[in-house]
Amino acid sequence: MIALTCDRFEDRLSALMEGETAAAEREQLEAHASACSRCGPLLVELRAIVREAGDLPELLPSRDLWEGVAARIETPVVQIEPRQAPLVVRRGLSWRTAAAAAAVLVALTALATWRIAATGVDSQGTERIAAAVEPPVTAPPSNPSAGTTPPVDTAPAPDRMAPAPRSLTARPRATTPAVSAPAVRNAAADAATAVYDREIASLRSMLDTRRAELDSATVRVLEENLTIIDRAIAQSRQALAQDPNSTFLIDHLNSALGRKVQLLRTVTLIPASS
Amino acid sequence: MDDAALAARGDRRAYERLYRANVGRIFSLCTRMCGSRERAEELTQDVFVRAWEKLPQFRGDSRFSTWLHRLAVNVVLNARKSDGRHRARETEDEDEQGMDAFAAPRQAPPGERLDLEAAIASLPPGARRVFVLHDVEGYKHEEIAEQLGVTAGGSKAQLHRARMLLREALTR
Amino acid sequence: MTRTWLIALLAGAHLAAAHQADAQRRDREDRIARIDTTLTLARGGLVELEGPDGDMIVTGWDRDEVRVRATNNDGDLRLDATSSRIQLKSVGMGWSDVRYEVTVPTGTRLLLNGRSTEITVRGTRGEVEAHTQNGDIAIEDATSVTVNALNGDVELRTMDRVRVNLVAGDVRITGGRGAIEVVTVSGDVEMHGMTSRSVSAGTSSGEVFYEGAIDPSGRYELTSHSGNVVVRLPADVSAAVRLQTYSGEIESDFPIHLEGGATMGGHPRSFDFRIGNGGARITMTSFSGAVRLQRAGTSNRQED
Repeated sequence: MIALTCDRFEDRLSALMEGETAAAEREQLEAHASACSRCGPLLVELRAIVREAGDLPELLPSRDLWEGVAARIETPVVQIEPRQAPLVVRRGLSWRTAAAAAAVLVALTALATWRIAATGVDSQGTERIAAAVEPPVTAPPSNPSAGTTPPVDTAPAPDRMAPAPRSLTARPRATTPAVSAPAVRNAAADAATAVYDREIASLRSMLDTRRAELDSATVRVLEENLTIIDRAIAQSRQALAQDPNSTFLIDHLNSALGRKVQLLRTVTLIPASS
Repeated sequence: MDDAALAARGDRRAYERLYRANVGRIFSLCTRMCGSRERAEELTQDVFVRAWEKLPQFRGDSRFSTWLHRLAVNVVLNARKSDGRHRARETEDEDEQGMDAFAAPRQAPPGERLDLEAAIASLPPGARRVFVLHDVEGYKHEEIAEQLGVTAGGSKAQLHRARMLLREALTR
Repeated sequence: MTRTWLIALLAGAHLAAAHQADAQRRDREDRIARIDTTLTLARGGLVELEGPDGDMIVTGWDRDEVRVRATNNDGDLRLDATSSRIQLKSVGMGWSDVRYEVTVPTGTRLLLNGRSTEITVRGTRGEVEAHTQNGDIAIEDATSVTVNALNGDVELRTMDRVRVNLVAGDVRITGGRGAIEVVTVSGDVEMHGMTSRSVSAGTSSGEVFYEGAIDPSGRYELTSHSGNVVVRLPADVSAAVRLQTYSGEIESDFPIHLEGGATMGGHPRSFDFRIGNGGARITMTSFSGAVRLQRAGTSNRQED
């Protein structure tokens, strides 16, 4: 019998441990192991690892996860078709329904923005700006690992939006106007703002309805990015409170709010993950 | 009527009982497969939410815990796709094909022996998954191959590699 | 006259028959479903691909045919076809991982729906609409491109119109010719070699970079909240420029002649000026990032 080399033993080690060697070869390998100071311990240690792995105790989470599960299974998921129907049909329908709804919401939002823009300038050509003079609110970061289901959008509702007069002439704009006129409330602008707030709330509730369908990684990405936008919105509003007449800041806040709507809209178009 | 049948009819209390009976095993699987307890808590919740939705499809031809376990493996495997799909891919894709020496598993601080759980967590992802499924959870290579989308031979090779890496980590 | 096919490939049914003895081990069946077929499709037709996770690769060719090669490793595939529309979907109760390789006549419209899906489209020279959750999207040589995605990088080369709505991920557009609209939250937006007349690119925490021709009647709006906004213009550009930032810096290679009583000091900084005859309208805005106007051909400054 040819003496078994350690290299050969290592090649066949996996087969040996899987029980895939013929009896004769197995004897040969075991014999080598019992006589070899290198291969012997190797085999013993590997077998010990396998044994220990099979005996590993059950791990338990650091907290009770049931609340998180219960919250997600309780969220009503709009069923377009009964569960027995082919998934592909269900998914297709709900995507289209959601897309149609989202398209309507975006159209309304665009209308709201247009109306706000159109109400900005009065007959004397002076810009009338109704600024939201609320103290800036910083949105607390959402804690996805909490047992309860936090609202995905942590910014306080409503997001007040100041109207944006669209006077894009080439005249220079002073950075800090000397005007100290108090903020003037503009009824039409407020009405348009209310429309905007309603659309964000609608989209947000559509998102909440869908949370059960979305996996945790997706929810995390959404929450991270909503936090980024909400921070931008909060910073813009804070700056605007210091400088209520800045057209730049008004425009900027508008686009941040618009981006939020876009984000929420994207969520409604995500196909269900089940 | 057993809890699985009740839960399939919408009985949440029955489902909570199923949850309590199985959460340890599912959490253990998730933790060891993905290498992180925190991520495993998220994944465990995903598993039970997914299982609730799929309960009507549970045919009762295997035990509920077996069915749930398989579903959990799927959830974990698919989660790594969502996590890392478009970012610079982890070398797990290479490590499922190529066998070149990967980063060595974490060494224990001098004088201390790394425990098996920690050593498993520090394995490269592909090897870790196969090791957990085979040696910890008791799946066969054919089943593992099917779930991971590799060949049975590939699974065996990964397993051997995992065991060798663990041995290295544990005997320092 | 339409012709409707329904091809449902049941996964491994023949294998199950062969393994009667192992019938109890249903979980060991070969579950891979495959399609490999060629269908005719009129020019300007529609191809729809839908799959949960996996890869979709679509290329264009000059034939009036569609070649479909698809696999699904856990479930069925369903292919429906009429003379003007082809639909490929995956059907399954498990976690299907699909691979679709489809070649279509140039000019075909594409509608792609995925979940965690890598999408690659090359040379179809038609409309492309892609919706995914995760996964990178790369499209080259198309007409109008619409992308809605949550998490992934988007790379577009040589197309006309672009509409990208992305949450997390970078967008890179090279050789855009038509109207460009990009919205992302935490990704960068980079545009090179552009010849568009209308560009609107906005991100919240990412950076925006634009380099290309400026049409004298064009409008270009580039916005970031906390990232830098950088534009590289040809030396002979003619544009009315507005640079705005709240707390960031403004840098310009072009001399800024302010009109009237504008000042450059203080915050927020916002001012308008003209370059050349002031034809195009360029607005560059960042809240806390820098706004940089570069002249092409000067030092190839790298943005941070």
